[in-house]
Amino acid sequence: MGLPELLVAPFRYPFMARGLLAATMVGVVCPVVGTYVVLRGMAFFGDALAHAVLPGVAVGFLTSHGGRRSVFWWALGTAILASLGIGAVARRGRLREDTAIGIVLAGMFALGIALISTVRGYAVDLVHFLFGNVLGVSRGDLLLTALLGGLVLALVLALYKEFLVVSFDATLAATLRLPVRLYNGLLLILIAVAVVVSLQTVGVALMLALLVTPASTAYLLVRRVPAMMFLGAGFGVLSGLIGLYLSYYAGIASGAAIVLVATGFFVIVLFAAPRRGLLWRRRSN
Amino acid sequence: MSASKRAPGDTACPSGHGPIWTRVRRKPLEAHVAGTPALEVDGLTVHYGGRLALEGIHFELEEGAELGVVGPNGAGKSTLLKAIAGIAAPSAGEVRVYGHVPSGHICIAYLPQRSEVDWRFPLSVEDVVMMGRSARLGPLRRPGPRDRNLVRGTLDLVELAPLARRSIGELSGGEQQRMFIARALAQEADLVLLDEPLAGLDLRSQEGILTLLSALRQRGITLLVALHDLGIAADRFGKVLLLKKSQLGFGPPAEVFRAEALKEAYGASLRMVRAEEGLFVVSDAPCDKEPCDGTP
Repeated sequence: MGLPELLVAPFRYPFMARGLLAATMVGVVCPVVGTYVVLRGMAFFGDALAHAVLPGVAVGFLTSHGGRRSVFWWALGTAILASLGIGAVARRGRLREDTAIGIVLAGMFALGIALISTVRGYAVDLVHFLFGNVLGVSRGDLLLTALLGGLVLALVLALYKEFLVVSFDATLAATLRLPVRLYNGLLLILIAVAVVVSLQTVGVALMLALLVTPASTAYLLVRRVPAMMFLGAGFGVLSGLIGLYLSYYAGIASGAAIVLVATGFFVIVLFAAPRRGLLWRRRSN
Repeated sequence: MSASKRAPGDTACPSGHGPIWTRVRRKPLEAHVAGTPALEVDGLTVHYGGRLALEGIHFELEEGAELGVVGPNGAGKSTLLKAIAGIAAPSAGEVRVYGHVPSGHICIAYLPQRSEVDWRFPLSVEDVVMMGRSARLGPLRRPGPRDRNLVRGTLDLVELAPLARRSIGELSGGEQQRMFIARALAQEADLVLLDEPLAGLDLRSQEGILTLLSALRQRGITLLVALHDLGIAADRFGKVLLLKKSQLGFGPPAEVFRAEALKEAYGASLRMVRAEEGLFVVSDAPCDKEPCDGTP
């Protein structure tokens, strides 16, 4: 079997082809939104959001006896609620933001597990939401991913300069009389949508990697925000593709394979990035 | 054209260009009321985080005036600037900028302390200056040739044009400060508030910033500058405001910087030497910047 044959073979299976499409779309959407997660230092928030979705997933699953569509919308509703809830707890209370996030994360995750534990028979399917099941993506899922992912990208593009000002200098945004809280809330919602859309690809537990890792890899290489988004999306898509090959040929769980490839890219760039990489610095010393 | 000096009474603040949907805002912007002072602060009291930060501040500035705001650490200098910028709400009294409350204006620029900025953000100098345009552009619109020209012009003025594409993380302290001044100009600000713009700069950079500030004044821009250095305030500013939560003096430095008032503001950290012609050589908090060697 030649190399071209090796590369094409996996995607002869329709479920692999659908998985590749899903991984590609998620690979673009997550790093674009993740650029703001990285630049604003919201990694912990992203992780919390992914975990906080679990009770929504559980309720959707239980009320519809496993219907995907229902799970999706419940997850989305929960994610948006959780992201706004974390913001409100951090603003109101005298707690530090990371403490507020930690409380919401653990509480919601526990609620999700509690709900799951009431019906042991379904637990196997729910495991897919914890660790992802990109190969179980249906045509309907793909359409929904494309629609919502497209919406997220369109909003990030349309409100690029607003999100940038609000993220870099909130005081400037306030003196320019921009609706800072509206834009911050909207950004949180976009992150929530990206999380839910990606849920099936890598699952709750590994979600954070897609938000943070490709965008950070790009950050090490470029010096402008749009370039960081583009290159991050490139790393995201490549991670999805190579991850699926790894999953197919080495028999590794697909979500884990994708995240491992993304992490591999990061490590390589961390060491070898021109001028900023660790190897480079050692040589110039 | 817009960064040049405006005729008095010109209602320069609201943005009036672009189709209607680009002008959607939560609050309408205020026009300047002709004949009103650039800034009126009347009995201003501000609580910050539940604590009294400022009390009973009262002064007025004409267009093109330059005010040095001095006082010890924690005296409320930043709070005063933020209240004037309309981003800290007064608990009593009021601030009026060209006759209106500040929160209706987009012609007030607040320059943050350099330590408050995340310099690792992947932005070029040009990117940051262009941010000053975002309010005039309105949502959804991209910067046009007019905006790019304006940004280039302001970078020329602050002598940063050759560094326009440089990453902000690679700038020196003086360059960072000049970039923010360019941003205030790109914003078409009429009132510019600077929070410790000279902190941590070497003497040459300090001089550069001070020269640039007088160039702004000549364009009719009103300046409020929070300062640490009483000497610079005395030498370079026509008017000073001495703060320690309440107002200990407002007016020309020679009138405000009197032994009594300075002692009240700085207490034990102030040392004074009587010199010729009734001047005082004063030094504020000697341990503030350099390592303190403990000698008196």
